[in-house]
Amino acid sequence: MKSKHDRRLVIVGVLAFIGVILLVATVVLTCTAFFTWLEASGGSPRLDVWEIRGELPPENASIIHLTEKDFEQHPALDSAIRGDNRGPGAWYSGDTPYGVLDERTIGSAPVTYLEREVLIESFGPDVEARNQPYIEYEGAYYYFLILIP
Amino acid sequence: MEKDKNPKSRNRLKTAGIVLACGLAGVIAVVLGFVLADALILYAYENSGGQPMFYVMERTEPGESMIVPLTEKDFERHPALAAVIRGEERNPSAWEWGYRDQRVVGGTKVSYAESKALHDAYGPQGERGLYPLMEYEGAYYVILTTWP
Repeated sequence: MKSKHDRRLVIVGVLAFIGVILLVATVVLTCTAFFTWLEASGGSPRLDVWEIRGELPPENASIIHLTEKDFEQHPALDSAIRGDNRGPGAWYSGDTPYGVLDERTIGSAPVTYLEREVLIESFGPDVEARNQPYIEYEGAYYYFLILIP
Repeated sequence: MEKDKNPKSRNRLKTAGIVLACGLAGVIAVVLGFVLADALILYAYENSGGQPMFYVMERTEPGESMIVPLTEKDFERHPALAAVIRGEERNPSAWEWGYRDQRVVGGTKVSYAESKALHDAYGPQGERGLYPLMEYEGAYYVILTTWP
């Protein structure tokens, strides 16, 4: 009787041991695989915002006036224009989507590929007409580009 | 003869039982492991300080995508979906920006768990990873979730 009882205990022990080992192995392997995949997935696109000045905007230009809701819904734009990622550079004369103008870098923020698509759909450019709107906030005009790594 | 056979077949049955139990324990452990790993990854993200976002894009044409009608149950289950499509988070952009056959309807901040639930329910499906189109009051929507 005792040996039967012992055998049962051994079987249960072996089963529990297998279960625990497999459980731990699955958790560790899945987590490791996930985080390795994340690290290996490369850099993310970067949103770069510039401010432009001069006689702006020309007649018939498309202007998007940024609202608080826009900033709330697009945290990357918020952080680049007025948040932690704002760091205006010096003014210089450079190529912009509107021609050669006085411009300065305002800030940049990392975005995901989906956020990039959402930003382009929300604030341009118009892919078909190749028209870039002027983005206005508190009297200043901005444009942005999203660079893919 | 029968007396000799019985203990042998009993032993075989026992061995088969043990093997089966081992296999079952293994399968249960692996499934539990995946569930636990999933919860752990979500927990790690929740504590990472990043902010997942949820966006809804409207499309003019359904194209080849699978169409799923949105019901009141969907809105009840996912308040973020209701807020963006017909609530206070609705903030549609002009059709002319980006591609003219789609526009952004709105977006909102969500938790990682909410984001995952929305992605699982309305995200890309099938081997080709096609986004299903949600239909509500004659308009077609695509649901997007982004993790920082």
